[in-house]
Amino acid sequence: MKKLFFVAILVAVVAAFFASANPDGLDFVAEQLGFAGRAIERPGLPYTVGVLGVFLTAGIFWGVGRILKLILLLILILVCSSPVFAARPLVTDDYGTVELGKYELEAGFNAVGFLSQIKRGMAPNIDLGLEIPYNTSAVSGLADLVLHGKWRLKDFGEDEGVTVRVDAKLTNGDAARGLGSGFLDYGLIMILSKKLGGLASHFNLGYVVIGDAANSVTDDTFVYGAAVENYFQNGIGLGAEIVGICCQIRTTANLQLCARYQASDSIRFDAGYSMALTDNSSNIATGGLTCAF
Amino acid sequence: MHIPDGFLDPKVSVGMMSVAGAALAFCFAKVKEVVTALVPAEALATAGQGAGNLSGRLRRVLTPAGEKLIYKMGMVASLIFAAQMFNFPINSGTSGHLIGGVFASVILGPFAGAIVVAIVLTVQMLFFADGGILAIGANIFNMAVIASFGCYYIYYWLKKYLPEWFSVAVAAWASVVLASFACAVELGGGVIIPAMVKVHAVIGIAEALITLALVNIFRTMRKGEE
Repeated sequence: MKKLFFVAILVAVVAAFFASANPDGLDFVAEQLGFAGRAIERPGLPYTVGVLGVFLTAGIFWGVGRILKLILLLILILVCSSPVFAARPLVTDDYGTVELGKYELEAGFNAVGFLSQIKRGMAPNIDLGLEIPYNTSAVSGLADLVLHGKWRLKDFGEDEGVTVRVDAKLTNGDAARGLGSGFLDYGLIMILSKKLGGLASHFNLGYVVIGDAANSVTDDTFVYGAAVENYFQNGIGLGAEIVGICCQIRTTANLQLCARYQASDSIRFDAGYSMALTDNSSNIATGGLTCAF
Repeated sequence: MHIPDGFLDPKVSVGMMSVAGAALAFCFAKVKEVVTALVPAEALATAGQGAGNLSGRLRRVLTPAGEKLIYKMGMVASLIFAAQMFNFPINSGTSGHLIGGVFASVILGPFAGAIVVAIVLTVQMLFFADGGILAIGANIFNMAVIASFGCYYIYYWLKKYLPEWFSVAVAAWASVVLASFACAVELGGGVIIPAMVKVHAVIGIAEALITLALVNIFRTMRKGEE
């Protein structure tokens, strides 16, 4: 059976070079009858990386975790892991919420500017957070703030559970100067954390309603993220994730690799590098720290 | 044949989503029945699993044969995904690619076949921008429900009277033509129907040949391992 999987990979690699440039049957008819222009094109991954699709489709049936583990075994050596949190610099969120009455502060920077976030535990299974982005690149100033509310629905066991998160992006940023969109957006994100073969894995899937009423049908966006991470006994952790968005006018995907160092119980340093998998996103490096108090 | 966003009337998009959703839910239920078995909770407790359950209750567990089928579905899905990347040129400046619906259902049965094609379409839509987001319902209906699930029964019926290879080929050809017909109707019918069916009657020949080859490769490889 495994042989067939390798056949699929081989076919995908070969097919990437032999794809015909001619339009397919439907496009051909659409051009002939003059309605081809109605198509909303959105860029996605090019089929030259179709091998990724072969892994994805097989992965859905095999359990996404097994595939991710296979890829990550090249990077990670499995050691007994300590509790893990998909916090900075991973974009993918974990199911955990900040303890009642405690605070967590995340601060980081990248090429665009500084990003800090403060979270407070409001109930044993609920926390509220405020994201404060400050741009320093082309235009400097405070960008749109984002409010998060996380509600932990169910714990399956240690480091495993399901959480739902509600986001609201405010309109305080100066839209004319490019610091905000001028629209109030809100989103609902489902978060699943699960241990897969000793690796902590987190999966996010959400839908964001963009406040721009005129273009709401084309702008409303699915957001997705999948991350795996592992901590070693000496406090060093490694992680990887694929995150992106998908709406009617574009599809993006980024692969981020990151390293973290847990300096003490309350302070953790991190650095990450995010590689664009689609040509409409960009490579970006980031660094920062998280502290709990 | 992946319909992009913007081609379909929003009402048609939503309608097709519900039809495709219902059909897939039915297929899921059928596959779930095949891959799992109801086992009394006591039997699991004595086997060291599911201890602490109420006695007398039945629990659904994945059977070894079921796990094998799921692996097989993964194989077929990745093979179809890869094979769909091959765009073969057809005369008069168009090109076609495999749908793989009949291949999936001949190997896996109609229910699992439809699910496999639907998953391939979803991955293409989410990551490769192939096929629209709002059009996913229509695309799943055309290529998973009609071409895979529906055309399995063409194969099943023909097989009774004709050689097996010939039934596979005819069903594969019919799957492309019928899917293109459904696609044309969703797009508004009229002049689109003859135009779509004409082009896809030619593409269907390639689908038939590739499906025959794939079915043979799959079966010989399976035999080699058993």
